[in-house]
Amino acid sequence: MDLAFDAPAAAGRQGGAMPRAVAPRAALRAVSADTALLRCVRAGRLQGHVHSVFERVVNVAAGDGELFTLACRSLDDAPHTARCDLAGWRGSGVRVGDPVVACAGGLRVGDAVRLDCGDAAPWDCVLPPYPAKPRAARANLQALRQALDAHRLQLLESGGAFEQLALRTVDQRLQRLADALRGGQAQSAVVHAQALLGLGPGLTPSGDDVLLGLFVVLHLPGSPCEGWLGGGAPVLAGAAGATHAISLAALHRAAEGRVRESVVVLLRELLHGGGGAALAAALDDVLAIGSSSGADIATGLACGLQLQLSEGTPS
Amino acid sequence: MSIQVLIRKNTYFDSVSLMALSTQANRVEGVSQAVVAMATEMNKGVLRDVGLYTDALDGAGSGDLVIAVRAASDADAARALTAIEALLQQGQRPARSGEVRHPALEGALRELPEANLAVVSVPGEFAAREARRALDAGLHVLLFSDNVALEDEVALKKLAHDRGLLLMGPDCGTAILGHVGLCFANAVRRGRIGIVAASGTGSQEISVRLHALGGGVSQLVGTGGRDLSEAVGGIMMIDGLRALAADPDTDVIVLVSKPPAKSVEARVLAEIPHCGKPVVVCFLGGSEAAVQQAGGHFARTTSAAALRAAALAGLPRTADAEGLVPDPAVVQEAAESLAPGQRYIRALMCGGTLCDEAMFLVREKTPEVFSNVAKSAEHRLDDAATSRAHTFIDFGDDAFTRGRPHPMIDPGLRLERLVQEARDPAVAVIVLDFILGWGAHEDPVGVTLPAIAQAQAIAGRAGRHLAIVGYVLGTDADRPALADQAGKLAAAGVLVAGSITHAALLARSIVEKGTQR
Repeated sequence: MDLAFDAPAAAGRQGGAMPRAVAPRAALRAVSADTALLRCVRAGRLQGHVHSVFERVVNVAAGDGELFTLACRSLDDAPHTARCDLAGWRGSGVRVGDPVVACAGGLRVGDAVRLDCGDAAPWDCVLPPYPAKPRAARANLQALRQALDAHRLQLLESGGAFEQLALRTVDQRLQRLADALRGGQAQSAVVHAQALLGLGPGLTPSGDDVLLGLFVVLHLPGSPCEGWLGGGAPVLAGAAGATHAISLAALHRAAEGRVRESVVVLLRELLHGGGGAALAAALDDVLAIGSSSGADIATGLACGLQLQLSEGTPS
Repeated sequence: MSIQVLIRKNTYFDSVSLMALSTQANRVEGVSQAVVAMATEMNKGVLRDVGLYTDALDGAGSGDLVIAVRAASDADAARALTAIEALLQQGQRPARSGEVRHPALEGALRELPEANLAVVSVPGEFAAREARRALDAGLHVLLFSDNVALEDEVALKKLAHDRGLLLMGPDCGTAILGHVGLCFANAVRRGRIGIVAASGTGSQEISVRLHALGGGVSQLVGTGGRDLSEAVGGIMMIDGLRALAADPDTDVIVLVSKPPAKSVEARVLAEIPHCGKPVVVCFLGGSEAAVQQAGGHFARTTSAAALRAAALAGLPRTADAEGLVPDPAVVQEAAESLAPGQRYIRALMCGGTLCDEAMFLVREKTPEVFSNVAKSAEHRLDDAATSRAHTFIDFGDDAFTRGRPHPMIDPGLRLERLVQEARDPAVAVIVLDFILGWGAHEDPVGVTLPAIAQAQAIAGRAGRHLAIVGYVLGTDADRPALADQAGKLAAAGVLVAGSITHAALLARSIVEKGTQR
């Protein structure tokens, strides 16, 4: 893997020497990846450019408008995500705008990185089924609400005027959305949901994260509210300007019933678990997402579960 | 009152960073309110509601970052925005005094065009690239990063050799060049003895031994631990040796390494006749005959290497030179305090070469020696977390440092193991090294004392006495100072050794004496 210089004659060029193509410097390995993403990569059907670079995540905008993610191994599996065997992207040399192309069963990211996906373990989001007897789910939801109330109070108290107003507005609009859904007012529900898009602090605004949690619950197989709000897709129709690409990508996945693994685990504990330490641990993993994103996602889950339990009979 | 807004197009920070930025923005002098958020339509509405909206927001889109401030005056607001922008540039980490941050090498070189060395410390996957860029810029490189691919190391060292540059590393933690200590170097006297080392703590040990003997170091060139492997071929050790041979400030050269590959050892030794200066060779486990045949001076241990080099440099022999032999009274007392069944040494080491040297010395008396870094399979632990007979653990091995700091900086894993070993009724002696110097923990002994007390208490409750042998690698010019650290150990009931050689011999003597009873 050397930078080297062609002799002019060999390249048929006039004048000074020109550098040959540089092979990527760092060879990385994908530990696991979303099945759909793996299929595209291995078939060589993926091409795009680096959209954004963070310490633990690189987002890639694919040519078809989709966004996918290269995450560090400390993060959990997620839709459209490949988990890479490294601790952080700092010093990687990956830059916004770098071309990304699938080749030889992996990905080439600019001049900086070659990601081998050959041995990546495939991952799929498998939502837990809704329980036939949701007694445990009721108790677990109550525990979740108590934990969330304390957490959100902390967030409110630590925020300034903007954060406090934004978060209160999120809560109000979520309540209106839940009321509309409960009342069977589908159109009104879509409007209230759209009023949450892009609202609030954080890279992924709080309103987006709340909707993400709600959408996933509306996809639970066999649940009373399965398919309500169209699963979320009608909310996102025409939402391109309401929030930015990173948040929108996660929302679209949630509207398909796909979400990151830590959220799936929390859902499983909420619906089927015995509460206690296991539920607390699963909640902690979700609360650790972002700054308030985890709490907002859990708020959306709680809202959705409340709707499910209020509806009573599983479908 | 003034409200000003700054829009950064297509700018994304993760939520934790946004929150930190927001918090710091609100602390900027003159700011009564600051908001850092994504410029979505809904957020713009909230900004309007809290009175922070200006026309500048009209054209902002959902992928843009908005920074809005309210301050007492236009001047205050403008100053605040400048300060917040600086925070954005720095990634919210303000530079320490005298430190300048640049996101890439090019900027650093513009700032400091006279620089002739780069220290590279990024995750291993990206380190080779950065090292190459530094070599291409004509800089010597100290490659501190570990987990660098072997083929990258070979390519980088060949490139460095071709350009007459040093590529010290990877996994090189110590160098002293032009009397500037780099990374984990100790504060030692300037002198006439040069060191080339494929061993960080080995070179540190020799440098502090020389200092203790009244001598000093001209240059200390690190090569990285794999330099004397078959694949790398000793490229940097040979280049370093040649550089010291040509250095007018160096009269004696010391080479130190863990056990080298035989063919590479031969290649290095073949350089000795051409040096024109005495060369002391401390290749742990190496061949004395081969060194002598090459015209070098063989040293079995790092202490012996320092003694020999000091003598060759004409330094007077001092009382410290005699400190290698364990005090029989100390050995006797410690051995008598052992309970029946206590017969093993557990060495929990931060320094790789210190671990190797101690291991070799104990293996001279018994084959029952195991380690996570043993070269031979028969002496390698199946599970590094489970000790067996006499066990020597190098906590600086890549397996322990992948994704976490070196134990010299973060001793957490070693402290847990100390307590674990204290529970084993077969353990007689625990050996601990404490390494001082630039970049090391600010109080390596202090942070370990609670675990030492806990270990002693555990053994005591079980009716056992645990002999703990401690060695502090450092000088009184280091901070904290050697005397301070050694004093704390002694006050805690630890047997304080004067060198790693002494520590290993002391531990060995105690268990020998104990099993004879």
